Amino acid sequence: MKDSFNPSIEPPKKTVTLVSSDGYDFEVEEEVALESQVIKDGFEDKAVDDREYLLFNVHSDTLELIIKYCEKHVSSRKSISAAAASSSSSNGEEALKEWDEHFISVDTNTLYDILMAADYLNIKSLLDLAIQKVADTIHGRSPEQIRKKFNIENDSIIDPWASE
Amino acid sequence: MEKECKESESTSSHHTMTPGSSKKQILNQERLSHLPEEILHKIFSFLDMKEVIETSIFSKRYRYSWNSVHTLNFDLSLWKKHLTSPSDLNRFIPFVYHVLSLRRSGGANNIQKLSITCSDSFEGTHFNNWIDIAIHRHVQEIEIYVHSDQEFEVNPSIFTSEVKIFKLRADLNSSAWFSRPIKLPLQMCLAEHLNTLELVSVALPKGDEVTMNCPVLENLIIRKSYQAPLKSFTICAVQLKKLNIDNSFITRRLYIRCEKLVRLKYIGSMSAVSLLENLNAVINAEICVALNTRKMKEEAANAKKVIAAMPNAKCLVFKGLEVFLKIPNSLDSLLIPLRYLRNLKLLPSSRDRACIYGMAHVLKGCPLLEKLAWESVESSRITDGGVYTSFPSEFVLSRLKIVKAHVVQGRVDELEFLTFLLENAPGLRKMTIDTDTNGQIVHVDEFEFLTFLLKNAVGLRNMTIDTCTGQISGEREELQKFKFKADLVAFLFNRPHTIVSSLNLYNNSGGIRQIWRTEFHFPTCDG
Repeated sequence: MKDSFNPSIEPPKKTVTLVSSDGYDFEVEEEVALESQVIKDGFEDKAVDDREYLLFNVHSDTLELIIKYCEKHVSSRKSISAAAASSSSSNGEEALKEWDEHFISVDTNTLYDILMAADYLNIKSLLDLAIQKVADTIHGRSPEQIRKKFNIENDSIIDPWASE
Repeated sequence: MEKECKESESTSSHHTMTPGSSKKQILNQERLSHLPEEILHKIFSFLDMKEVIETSIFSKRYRYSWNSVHTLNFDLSLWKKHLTSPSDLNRFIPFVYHVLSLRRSGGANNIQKLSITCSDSFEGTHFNNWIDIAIHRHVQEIEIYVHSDQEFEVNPSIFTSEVKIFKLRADLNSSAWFSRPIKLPLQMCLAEHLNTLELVSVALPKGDEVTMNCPVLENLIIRKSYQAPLKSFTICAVQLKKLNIDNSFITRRLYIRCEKLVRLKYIGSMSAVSLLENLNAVINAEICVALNTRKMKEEAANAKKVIAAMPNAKCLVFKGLEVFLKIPNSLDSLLIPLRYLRNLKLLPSSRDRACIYGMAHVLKGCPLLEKLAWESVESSRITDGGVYTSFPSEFVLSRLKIVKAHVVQGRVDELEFLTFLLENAPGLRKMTIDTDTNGQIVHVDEFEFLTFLLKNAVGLRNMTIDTCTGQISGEREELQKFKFKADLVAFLFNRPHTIVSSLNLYNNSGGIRQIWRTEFHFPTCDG
């Protein structure tokens, strides 16, 4: 049984260069970069040797995380569709969900950075993930706790429950 | 991914170039407030209105932002003084009125979605008033989850307005299982803009014969709902793509005309169903035949008709083999019309042993099957015996790759069936066997069972076995585990030609998954 499982040798992958706001280059595979709707739009119009994107709003620390997220999603999507008819499909999705949850369990500053970057790059699944995380953080906390958690300065003059 | 520059100029850059860190410090002061309005609204859409309004004390920026949120969620359970005290209806009800009525109508102030969750019973008129206000603000989506003993009829204007999604789930006292205090108006049947309708535990519109004629309806779910004198219920929806209907109570005659239906889930008597149109578009089907011992033949004949009406189905979940057990040759031909069937899940009754043979006969009708799952289920009625007493011979499931067996109790007939599959499915790649029977005592010696399987698993590459040892706890469990593991290793290494390339073992005890997990890897035999 010489495996059909062994991946055959693939041609070198096409890559795209992403440049972070603080000037670092990140070379990523094309399909990973295409997770971003912003990059996807008009990608075909760009010359092949000019596939470099300056991301003025994304710091390298954040970009590293974003790329990690996209790489994971691209690879697990492949393995899920490879096992499409198989029972492992649901396991794969579950595992990815678990991975997502772990990925987004970051401090509030990082969460904010991810949120802004996902919005800027228009990566819908990541944006939804980050938004859900913020909402979960707010759930079941008192206003004072939330203010502390997100470093929100109290410049308010009203108290909505003042009548109590 | 490489972080090229960072590595090359790491030391110098970090001291001289500090825009990143200084930026961080500024933002540290205040992060959330700088979010764009759009994102803020998305975050708010996951929160309850009470929580949203509480944010208004955060800062001036938030002070009015609650007033333009598009999704309004109200959950009564947040209105409690203490965890155990009853929810405060006297504050909740005015709060909902207040928030809704403060929304100005028009433009950006329109409401997208209104969701109300109430675990306590109160006057239905409040719901209808809230719905009225929301409709004036052009609400598109309404969800109501309610626990109610109070009778009321749902505001009919939902169905004449531009509402696209309406979900109504009632939660009933089990003592009053037959009563459905929340009633739907007749206007429901003619809703012009409705795309999705979900009804759980409500009373359907009054009348002997009810016809739903909704031109743009795409998703319809009706569960645990009924209405006493309903003689016939007709679903006429040309755009309907998903239908999930539990017809246990609804009617004796259900007419379906949905030519674009892609997913069908039906629970109930098959002889009640009349298809006015073929279900050629159905790809996914789930059918649970009601077991009515007096009308077995009729049920069987009609179930066959319904299955034959969806020749393009690729996935089928079928429960109700029992009705066929007394009719010779009926099972062998049952799935023949489904020429594209790739995934099949069967739910045989664990008390009807003849079902095991029946399953094998069903498989005869689907030679192209790629994935098979089965799960034994408890059923109250037992049919005594049947005409299927042996496995069919002379056929090969050449495409079958994956088998999943749930709730395997280790009975002889189950093992026979597994052997049957291993013998007749040469391309089998993966088999998952799960002996979890919800805390029941499993009379299966795991080691014997495994030995049996491995002996028969010729060509199988991957085997996963879930074992649940609910009865054993503490130290004994540890011992048991080690013994089991040691036995298994000894066994596997003594096996002359190991073909199983990986074997995963899971032990699931008391709900906590993955207490231990071992993987064995073996060289595959070449040639």
